[in-house]
Amino acid sequence: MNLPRRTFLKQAFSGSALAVAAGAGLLRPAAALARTWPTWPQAIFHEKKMPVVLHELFGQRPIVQGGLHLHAPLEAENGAVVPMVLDTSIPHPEKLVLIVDKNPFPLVTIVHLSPDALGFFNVRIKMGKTSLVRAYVVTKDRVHTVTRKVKVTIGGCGG
Amino acid sequence: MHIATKMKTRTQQGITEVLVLVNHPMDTGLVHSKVTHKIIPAHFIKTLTIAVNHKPAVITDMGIAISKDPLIAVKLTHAKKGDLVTVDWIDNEGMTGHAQTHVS
Repeated sequence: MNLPRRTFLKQAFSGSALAVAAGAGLLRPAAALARTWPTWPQAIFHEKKMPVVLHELFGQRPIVQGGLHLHAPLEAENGAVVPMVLDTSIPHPEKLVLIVDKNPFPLVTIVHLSPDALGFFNVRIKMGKTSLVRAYVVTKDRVHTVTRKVKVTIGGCGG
Repeated sequence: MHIATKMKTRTQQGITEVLVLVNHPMDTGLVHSKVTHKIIPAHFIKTLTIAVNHKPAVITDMGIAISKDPLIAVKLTHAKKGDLVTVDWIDNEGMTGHAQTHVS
């Protein structure tokens, strides 16, 4: 009497395990798509020196001022949530990049754009203290940049 | 732990704005807990992908400096009514999230 019950339980369990595996499998195609671009660039995100970050990201590409808008508050009461809007009308933007000079790790985000996406990105970021915020638009042959100073009253990166 | 992912789209004059909200802690790994006096380990989204009809439109690589409960917005051209828009993310602990909607 006990054995069939055990067998049944065993089967029930392996069944649910299968369901979980199927669920994971369902998620996989989308995860695989993300790999059509390079994987998460750990070295740049862990880099603490701003010039090194810029060099790693843009290499020898010339950096020119202007061509995009960075909407950021002049003063943020709470450094844990600082709204940022990047907006550009430069044709064929490939990547958008946000950097906060004085954060422990300056690189905030890299946004890869397909030809179907506009040069627009809205996000909320953390800032440890008052700092320059740099926004970049990367095109095939050059990099456009704009800089804003954001004053932070309460930092958002540490205790 | 379940992390909710929400998405909605808004189309105006041929441009579709996609809004994504993930209820993720985005812990930096730099903060001391006032309760346990230990460092709260880093837990943050690394990559978030927005795709239209399973074709990636925007891929964002994120660091620890994205705020808790990330709310992001992007704009797409060429998205038609009824197109399937999906968002998938993966964090540094290997957790994933997914949401989908159709362009209205």
